Amino acid sequence: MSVTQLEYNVAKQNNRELHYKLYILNHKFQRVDEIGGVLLSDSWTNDSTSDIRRTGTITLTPDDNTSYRVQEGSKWLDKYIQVYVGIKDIHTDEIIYTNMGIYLIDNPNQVYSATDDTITLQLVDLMAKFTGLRSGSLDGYEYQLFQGDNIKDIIIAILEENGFYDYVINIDADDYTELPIDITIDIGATYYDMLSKINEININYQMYFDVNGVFHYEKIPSGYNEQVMIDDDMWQEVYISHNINTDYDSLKNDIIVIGATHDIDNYGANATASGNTYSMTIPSVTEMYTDLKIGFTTPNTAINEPYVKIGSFTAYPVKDEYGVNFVPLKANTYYVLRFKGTYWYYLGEITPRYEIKETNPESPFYVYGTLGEVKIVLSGGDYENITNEDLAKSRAEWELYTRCRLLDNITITNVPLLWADVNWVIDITLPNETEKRKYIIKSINTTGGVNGTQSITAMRYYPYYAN
Amino acid sequence: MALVTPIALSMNAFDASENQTFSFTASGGSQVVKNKLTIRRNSDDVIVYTSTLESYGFNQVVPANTLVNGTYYNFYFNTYDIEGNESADSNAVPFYCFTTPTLVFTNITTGDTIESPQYKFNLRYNQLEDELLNELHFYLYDGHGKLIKSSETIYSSENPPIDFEYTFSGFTDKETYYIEAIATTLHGLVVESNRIEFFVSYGYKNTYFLIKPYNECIEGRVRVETNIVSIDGITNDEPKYLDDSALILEQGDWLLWDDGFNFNSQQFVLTKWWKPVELGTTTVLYGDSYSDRIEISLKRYGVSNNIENIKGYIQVDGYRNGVKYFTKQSNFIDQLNNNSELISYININGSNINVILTNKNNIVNHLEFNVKSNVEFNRLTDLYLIDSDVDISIRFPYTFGGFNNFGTRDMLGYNALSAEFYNDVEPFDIVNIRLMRCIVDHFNITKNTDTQYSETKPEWDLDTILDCDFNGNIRGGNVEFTLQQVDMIKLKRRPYGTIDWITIFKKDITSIDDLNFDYKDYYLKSNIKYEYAIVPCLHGAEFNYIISDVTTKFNGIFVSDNTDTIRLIGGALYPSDNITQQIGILQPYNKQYPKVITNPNIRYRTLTVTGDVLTFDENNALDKDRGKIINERKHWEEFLTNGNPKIIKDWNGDIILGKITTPPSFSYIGNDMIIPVISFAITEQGQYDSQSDMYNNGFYSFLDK
Repeated sequence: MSVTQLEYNVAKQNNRELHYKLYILNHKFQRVDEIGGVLLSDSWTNDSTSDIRRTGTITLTPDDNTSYRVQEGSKWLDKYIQVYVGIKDIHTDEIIYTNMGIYLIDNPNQVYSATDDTITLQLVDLMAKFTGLRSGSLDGYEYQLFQGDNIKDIIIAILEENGFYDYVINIDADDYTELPIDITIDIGATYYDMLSKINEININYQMYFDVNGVFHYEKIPSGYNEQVMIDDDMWQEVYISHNINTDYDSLKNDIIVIGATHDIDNYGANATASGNTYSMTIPSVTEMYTDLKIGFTTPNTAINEPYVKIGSFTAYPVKDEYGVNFVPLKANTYYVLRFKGTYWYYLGEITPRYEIKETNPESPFYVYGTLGEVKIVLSGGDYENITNEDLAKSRAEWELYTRCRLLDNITITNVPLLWADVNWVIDITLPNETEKRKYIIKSINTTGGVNGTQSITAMRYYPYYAN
Repeated sequence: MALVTPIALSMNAFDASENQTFSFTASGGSQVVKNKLTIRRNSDDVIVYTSTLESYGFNQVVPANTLVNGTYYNFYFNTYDIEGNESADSNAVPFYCFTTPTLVFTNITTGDTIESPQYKFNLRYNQLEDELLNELHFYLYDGHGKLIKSSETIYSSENPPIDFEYTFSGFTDKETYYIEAIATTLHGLVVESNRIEFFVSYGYKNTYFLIKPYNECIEGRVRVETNIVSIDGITNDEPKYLDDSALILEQGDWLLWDDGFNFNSQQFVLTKWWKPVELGTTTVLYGDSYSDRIEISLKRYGVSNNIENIKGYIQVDGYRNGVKYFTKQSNFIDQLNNNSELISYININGSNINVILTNKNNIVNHLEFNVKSNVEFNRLTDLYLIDSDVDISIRFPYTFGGFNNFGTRDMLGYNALSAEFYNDVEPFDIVNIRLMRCIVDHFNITKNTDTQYSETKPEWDLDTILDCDFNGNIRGGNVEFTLQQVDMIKLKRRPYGTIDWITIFKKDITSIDDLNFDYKDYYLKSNIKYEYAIVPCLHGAEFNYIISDVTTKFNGIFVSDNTDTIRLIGGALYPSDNITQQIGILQPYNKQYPKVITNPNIRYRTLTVTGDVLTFDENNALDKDRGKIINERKHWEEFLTNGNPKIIKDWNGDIILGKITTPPSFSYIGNDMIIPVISFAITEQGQYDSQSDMYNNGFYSFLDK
């Protein structure tokens, strides 16, 4: 997340002397050995949009002392590799190393001939332990996560089940700390599928392993006053070139999100309204129990602070997931509620739906401006995980943020900044411009070696609409 | 301006019993005048500490004992501007608290003296909450605190406590050093041991007689000869020492040396410093058969009615096939008793036999013999003795003329009697020596028959056959180890004044003959003073180094591999000598000057060598025989194309280890086509003084770490 002053300083040096360290780690992330030899080439990717965020490829000529040769492939299987790339500080001769991350080794390859003795290692970050690439498959059952389960507890349980004990799970109190919905994990899925579904609850959160092997679940920088991590002070030193793509195809200023249609076993048909209470008869409901789910259609009467009554049972209020605020119901609409002991939790319409438009007249993409309405309907796929209107609203807001705001896509080619990370907010004054612009890094591709450069792909940064 | 969201900086594990500084950065935005630190338990985000500090600084100190060791926390900061506005929460940074680990040397304390050129340091790592170790290094400093050597990185996956050991070698005698270890734990705790001062004193001796390196200029090598003699003694019972400086052989006791030496029965000098226990045979030197032997006996001469003339002496008798063939007696001495401190000297050089006995002691006898002795305790030979105590049979009728002539034999025996030879016999090999009836302080046998009588105890030299000082040992050899204590000998080399040795030769030891060898060392520079060391080893452990030195001087350019060495002398030179390094240049848009990026790991020389292919006769004179030269050319061709890595060294002191990357080509000088000129190039692949490089390039067949 941060860069040290020394790392920053050596990145600005006109002279760089590159050094490498490749450690073998055991399952506790303890160093158990170092791969000796000369590193011939290395390349690294860090892509915030990928399940496995960090990957790398290194090719080295092992020294004859190293015990880690490909023919002993089984030695690699339960090990991790941690790579450091260093630059010598010209003032102190100290090598300032940057941690490039902890990786699993995927498909090591060795070439040995009269002219070659090289090992090539494909590296994938620790998320591969969850995606099924190396491990992480669930054991052939359908899994259920229930509404109200603590999100942090679920994540910790998944991590510990897979042998990971270092984490930061930092959820804002304003965001979902508990599951607002049931989540079903299908047979044949992976732990990553489970994490991914959880990640979709808090829509602007990210989930990744950092370079120290610490799992993070935290908010993506999206506020008005995010710290700029790289600015012109550094770009002056390392910027080589850039290109900008503006993606008109993705531009949408009217978003409609449609979630999953609920299966309703207990349908109350057309309710009647009396005072602030909707009443109905559902023969299949013989008792009131927690998580009882019902559906019904409101009559031609909207109620702002509604109660719902089934048969002769007590009438209970309809509230949000926290059981705090009343949720108003519209007339002639099919709603789904879940009983929570003292209130009905509002799950939304039979099919959660939310529409949002760019209504900021200052925006060049103002929906009532010259651009007009550019609509997109989002449904199916991941959207099937949206089971209430609140989630549909959150998702729609996020989609508007990503599809209407962040359109400028810049790729900067620069002298490598080894410590740069994705989802960092950067400032840059491009050579052909006078205005400093903010971007957020989405992916980084770095080629090592003396001729290596770095491509940083970043998107124009705007604070999140909801903020 | 608004407050930017601060960035909390990462935090290694620390000991909660000490103050700890937590930091953040915040660049741009409003001036930060206050910050708030919040620490939560990481598992459930329960807030355990919060503190607001009015400060322009970007950190806060958490007081000692606020947090609990063994706990996993996270922290974040908020900042405030002058108007009291609060920033968003910073990122949350996880951290552990652990009790400070301990790293303690367990077999050395400050001020200790190490009596060896190497030492195995034992170290223990421990940590209360079982924090695992990431890596460990040992560091060796000289007396001025300058780092002179460090260990490779040491790893361990064990749970604490963990014991480590590491051997540093190459200590210089009479020097002060410091040892230190530094470990880093899995979660970033750094723990340092105390820096222990110690002194090295191992009584460095000139050991040229054990290891002798010779510079051989024309051959381009150092020849190393060894002269290690290991002679283990055997006693009938546990050896008993007097003040750890003399061996007590009471009545019935004996010491036998029966291996590790072999010398001519008619050419040696034996010198013995000793005290008598009783009269009789005290030393027997014998061959494969006891029938061939030389006996040395303590005797006394006198008559009961003439106590004034009771004398002590030694007699040497030679036997061949069981038949006595000579007798030789020493001079007489007075005052023979248990107080006597005797020096016996026996020089046998063919038919010239000289036997001297001296008594150097007249002080109070401090020996406490608990045995019956016929050497009267504290009684002088000139006191009255009963007849039965005195060997009155001894007479010297043939050479001495009788009792009355005793006075003509001076006390040092220079006028001693001539030897009496009974038969002419062939010499035999003495392979056994047995001592008895004495308290022996020093025993020496040399093959140098020019050795004169001396009261000074000798040290080993190249002529020494056996020497034992009985300082708590009965070893007769020139090394402090016995054959049972060594299963391998290593030969090591280093430039003089440096500390790192490399092992250049190893030899398994199964017999005494294995201890000596003649090694030719081609893989070293000219014009350098090198030290060589013989290192006895047992089960992989190294013991005291036996060191000698030589300065090299070679004439020519020498090309060596693990099969051969060939010299270039005429027209020998390097037409080119290039260094290759990986360098990249990147040109940032806003910079006048580029970024120059180098990979220091890739740097090597490519050297081109040329020279005349010459042959020499046995007198080292140039031989222009065309046939010989053609053979030599073929020799070069096959040698340089055999695929083996090469070492090239020259008279300037340059040396390069590498592989031939431009195969040899030949041209001729002049029109007579007699002398070809060879040209080839080598690309550097390692260092001649790197153990692993030499191993990896096939020069040594072992990797001695």
